[in-house]
Amino acid sequence: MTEIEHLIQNKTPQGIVLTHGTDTMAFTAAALSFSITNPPFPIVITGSQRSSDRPSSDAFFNLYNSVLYAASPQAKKEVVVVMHEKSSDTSCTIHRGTRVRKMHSSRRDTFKSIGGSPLGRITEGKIIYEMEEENLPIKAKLKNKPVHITKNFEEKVGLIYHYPGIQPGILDYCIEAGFKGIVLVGTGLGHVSFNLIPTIEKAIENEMIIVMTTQCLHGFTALSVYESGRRLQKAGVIHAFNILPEIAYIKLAYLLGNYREKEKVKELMKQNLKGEITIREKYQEFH
Amino acid sequence: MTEKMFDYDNLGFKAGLEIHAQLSTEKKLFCHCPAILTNEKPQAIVQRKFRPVLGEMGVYDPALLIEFKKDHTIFYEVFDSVCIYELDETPPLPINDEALYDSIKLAKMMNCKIVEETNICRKNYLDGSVPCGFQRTVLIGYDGYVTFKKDPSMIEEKKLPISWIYIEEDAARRDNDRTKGKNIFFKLDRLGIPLIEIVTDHSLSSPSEVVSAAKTLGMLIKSSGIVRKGLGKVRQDVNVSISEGERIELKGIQLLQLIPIAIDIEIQRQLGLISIQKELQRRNIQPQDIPLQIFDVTKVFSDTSSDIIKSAFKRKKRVLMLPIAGFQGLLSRELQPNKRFGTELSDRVKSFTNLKGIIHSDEDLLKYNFSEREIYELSKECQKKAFIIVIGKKEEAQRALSFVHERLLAAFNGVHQETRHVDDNGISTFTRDLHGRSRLYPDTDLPPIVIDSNRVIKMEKNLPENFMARIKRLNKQYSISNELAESLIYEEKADIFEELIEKGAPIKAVVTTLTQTLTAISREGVDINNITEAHLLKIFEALVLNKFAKEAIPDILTNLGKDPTKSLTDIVNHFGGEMSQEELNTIILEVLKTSQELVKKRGMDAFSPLMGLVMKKARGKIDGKIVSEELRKHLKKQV
Ligand SMILES: [Zn+2]
Repeated sequence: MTEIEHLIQNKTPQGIVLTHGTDTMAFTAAALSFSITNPPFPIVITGSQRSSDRPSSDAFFNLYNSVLYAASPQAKKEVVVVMHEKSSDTSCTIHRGTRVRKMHSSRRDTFKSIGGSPLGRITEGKIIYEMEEENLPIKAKLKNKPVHITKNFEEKVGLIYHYPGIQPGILDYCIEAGFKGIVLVGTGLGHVSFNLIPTIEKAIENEMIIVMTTQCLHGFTALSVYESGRRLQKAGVIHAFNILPEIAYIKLAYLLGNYREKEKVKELMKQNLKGEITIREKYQEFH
Repeated sequence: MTEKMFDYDNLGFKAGLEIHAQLSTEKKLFCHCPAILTNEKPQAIVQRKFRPVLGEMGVYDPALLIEFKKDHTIFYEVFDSVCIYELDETPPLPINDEALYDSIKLAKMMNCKIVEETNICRKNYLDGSVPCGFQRTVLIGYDGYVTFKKDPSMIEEKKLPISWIYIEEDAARRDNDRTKGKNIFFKLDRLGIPLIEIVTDHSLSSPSEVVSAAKTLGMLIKSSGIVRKGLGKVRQDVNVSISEGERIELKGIQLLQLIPIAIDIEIQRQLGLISIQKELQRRNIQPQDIPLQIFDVTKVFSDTSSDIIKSAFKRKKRVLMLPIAGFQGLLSRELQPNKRFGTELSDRVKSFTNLKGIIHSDEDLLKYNFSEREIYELSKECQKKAFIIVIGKKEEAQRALSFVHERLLAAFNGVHQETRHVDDNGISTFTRDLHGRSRLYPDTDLPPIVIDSNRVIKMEKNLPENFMARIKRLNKQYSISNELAESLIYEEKADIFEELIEKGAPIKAVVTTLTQTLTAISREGVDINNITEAHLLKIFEALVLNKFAKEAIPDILTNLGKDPTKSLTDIVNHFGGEMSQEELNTIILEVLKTSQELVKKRGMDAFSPLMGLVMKKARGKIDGKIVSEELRKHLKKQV
């Protein structure tokens, strides 16, 4: 991070490529997306699913395309992940850093953009953009502002996956341990069992910010539709449209690390800061 | 105004208006899709079936059941401009803020009270035009009024109370090219465009009041700057009743001029239905005299030569008959021009089932190629009573006859409450029964909306220019009549009018172009939709620079309308290019030469016909005044 900061401050490169292990690559992509506002050049993260000590490794192809993209004047100045599009060594996908997720434990084409088209693809040395117009601009009003970097992330933030039979004690622990925020990964539109709700209410009374996301990964949360959701909403649970659970976790840690006012954190959680929320969900984009 | 057909006071005539207009917001009401219509080919087609649901009282909504029994399959055309909300695949996003406060602005312009907190409500839509089966609608304002002139030619004003203002989603538009039989197609592009609905009370007391009120509301809405421009973007429905009749909702009236015609036809229809009611009383016929007793008369036609029946038999259809005592001669009573009581029954069958209609005993049955024997058998079958015949699959034909029966029973009460669609001649067709105002019930997908009262107060201080004030200002500033100012505003031409004048265009030429030329060339078949305001600005800019003479405007517009891909500059140059004095003289001398006879015979009186000949050649390229001066000079020399 310090090194990236240094590169940015000196504005030397045309772009940078960061190699990274694939398991936590999406977390890093999101963290960089939130912490660097208006990067002066494209920041590309890449890696490999097949280790580079074997002749069939995907490392070279991914790296080649990442460099090609980072050096291209066509490249967008934001954080992206460039990795294999298919099993073939023929094309790479360019994923926005706030919509990408590792979806397979071993395949080369493990990374997918969820809830919409990826930013684009690279094939035969050409960059082809695919994302719909309306999803493209990352907060137009940020344009023309100088680059801004913040490295503060709140550590007392949790990510809890909900399951039938979940014990409220999990949340009680977080309250006692002084957690500032929790991202819940609920079922469907963003639901939890009723027996969890009193503890959620208690957590919010204890100044904790609770954000709801969905295990379905695709689609929006909507807390007004069913009783469980309405009670959560009444209790003060925030729902942030279709932000992915892991991205919500990073975003919440970023916001709590940089804003003191709880209300501001809640408001920004619902705003589309770095393309983490899909503006329009298209019919053909769910497979 | 049209001649007064009826004594409206005496009839107890009352009417109200329901106005719909699309808001000109960039996005839709409950999702972020662009609020635009498209001509694209669909990217995908989604197929759905609708099922009836239990209402709040635990019973099926009868209208839903009727729709269900039609067994329609609905197809939705998906475009790039829509998302999965239009497909009923995700809950709504929070309401479009711009649309919400734009409609509050309009409500304020109509002196309405604004709700403090409002629920999003659902209104059932049964025909498939809204994929989720209900339209989302939100009450915005109530208890307002607008002031209008009782008659466009009078000074006397009247207040028309505004009962409700809603904002709602427009429905999908039916694709009639693809729709066939039971497969109904809809384009999803229009679905979700914000629509404002204005409901007035029922206090208008003559057709001319209705026209004047509709025009006033139209002007007010159009001058608010928040609605989409263009014909048909503001739609008006008229509710009409007379004392002895019932409230009938007339939908689909596009032009103001059609309102009084449609109203008079509706009054005539209601009076006709009342006369049928009275005739039944006179004949001493009671509802119990026409039981729902259906006869299968298929065997009467066992060796028929009637084509419709023969082809129906091929598809295993049957002929069912409902005898109806006491209705002889009533089925052929004309209620509207060329529409009889029998047609009303037929329209109902068409609307509620997939059948083509009915055949009844007041018709000339020979026209269906029924034989004398078949006709005799039919009348024997029902003991010489009047009868209705329906051809179809047994179950559907039975249902059709039960709808007919229901309507016949309603005839004992005179007029039946319904919604009717009006065609371009003012003649209406049954669309659905009217059970009071369509029932609204709360939508649980979104929480109630709290209106920001500070924002409303701010907005109230900043309302757009009132159209009444604008009429007065236009009248003063440009010395044009009030009537002209009104029609410029109503036809949405006031903005471009002012813009053109500001650019230095001569008022007279602008008025002629906007109010006469465009209509005239449109009548000649030129598509004036191809002529944009930007075109008009360019044309008049060229006129101000004397690039051509104003006489060429109709030709330029015609050329542009016929082929909008042509370059406007080329067209202007073709008709312009400023003729020099010399060129003009050559033309004049040529014309004089070929018209020697005429000049000899009539002397100076030949001026007018000669002027016509010269103008034909010089039109648009030189001012008519110069032509006239020069021609006069030359002619004088020769006589
Ligand atoms: Zn949409």
